[in-house]
Amino acid sequence: MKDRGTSAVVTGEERVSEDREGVGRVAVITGASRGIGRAIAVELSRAGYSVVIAARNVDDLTETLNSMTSYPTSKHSLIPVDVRQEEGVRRLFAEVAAQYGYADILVNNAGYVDPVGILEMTIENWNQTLATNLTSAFLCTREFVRMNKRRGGKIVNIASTAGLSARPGWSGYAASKAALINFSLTMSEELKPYNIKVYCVAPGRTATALRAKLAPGEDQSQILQPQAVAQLVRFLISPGGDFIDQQVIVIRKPV
Amino acid sequence: MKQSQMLDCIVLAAGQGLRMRNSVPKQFLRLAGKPLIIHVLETLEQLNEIGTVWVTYLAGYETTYLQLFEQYGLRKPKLVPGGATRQWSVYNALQCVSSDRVVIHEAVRPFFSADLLRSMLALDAPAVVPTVPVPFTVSMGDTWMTAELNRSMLHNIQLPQVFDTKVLREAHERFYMPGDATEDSLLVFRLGKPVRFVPGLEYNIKITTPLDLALAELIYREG
Repeated sequence: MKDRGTSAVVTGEERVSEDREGVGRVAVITGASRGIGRAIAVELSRAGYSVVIAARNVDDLTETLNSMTSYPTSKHSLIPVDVRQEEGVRRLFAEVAAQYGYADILVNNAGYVDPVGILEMTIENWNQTLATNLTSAFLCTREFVRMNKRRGGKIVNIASTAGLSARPGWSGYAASKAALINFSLTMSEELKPYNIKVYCVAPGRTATALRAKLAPGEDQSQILQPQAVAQLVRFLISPGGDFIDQQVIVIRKPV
Repeated sequence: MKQSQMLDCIVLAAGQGLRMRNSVPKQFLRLAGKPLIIHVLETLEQLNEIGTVWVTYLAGYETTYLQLFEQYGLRKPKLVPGGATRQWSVYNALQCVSSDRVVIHEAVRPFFSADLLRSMLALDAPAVVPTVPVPFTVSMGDTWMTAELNRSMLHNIQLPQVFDTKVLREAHERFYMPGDATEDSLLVFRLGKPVRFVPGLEYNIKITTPLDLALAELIYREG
């Protein structure tokens, strides 16, 4: 595990004067090695959170870590883990408990897509898509609830507008995101007694490597940027987000 | 009476739920996906005033109870064998109680509130019992009416109830037979000790029939 501890890396262009509502709070982000996950990690680190970034690829995670802001009050950790695996998720939260004692925030962001038509779809592709996009959220949520059922917390699931309508050629991805949306709504109700709030964010076309797979050749400068999703997540996990509940929050760039 | 002492609680959970006409004992029936007994135990788990929770169990289901305690991370419950009747289940559990006062609740009454229990604990009486008014007309008789009852004087008795442990033990020893008491404040009353009524909660229903379970889902959703 790489740990930046309390080494502060604050450059002139970072917004050090803004409110750091995340000071003293710990956020765990899955799929933080690239794209939206990385943007969320960067944004939350700016807000003063101590951030645990999790994904399989250590090199990419390290790049994320190097993009993050550290304050004397924050401590970030990088944990290489396959969140599709029950044992891996247990280890992730055991390490969080050992290092921080708890986590206040969980962002289920791990995502995978290999878009093919139904006749080309292999069982391996289907299973991997559901395992990454849905099962990982279930496993991480369960561990987070075990950790926090007495102290509450917030979970943000990153779904997709693909989960809200028909997407020919993306059946596994769209089905997994639709399932994640319902899982989020159900958890939002089920976890109320534990004071755990659950949000579901459904970004539209977002400039990520995953999107490039879905729409090769698209001009990514013309679509939603991951930072916009990250800012929305930051708002949801702040006290301002307490008044939002039981809905899928769609974020997309206006056409 | 030591007010600062953590109190033991007895949760009656050894019923077979015959009136529910279901193969699953009613304490394990699910409300919003969670067994009824867990709703009760999770509320007790949050109450600092409560120490050990003695759960009377139905023989043959020990593993089910223990597995649930572990899955939901519950630290307070301990199992004690249920008896052949409700009264004898309480008697068994009373042998384990070590606090001066004891709370008695049941696994199939998931909507009691921490505030209600706290307000009851603040009262000093051998027995403190929540009740709600009886909203319908009741009378006595078999085939023919034999007596009129004034419903304004009647109380629908609820749980949880709080007792002086010594008094409750004495009541149970004295009235051990025939063992068919349907709740405990009656035994204390028979012993000649005062039983204090406090306003209960209308929604704190006991889930006994399939209709109760349907109503409980509604109450749960309405929060």
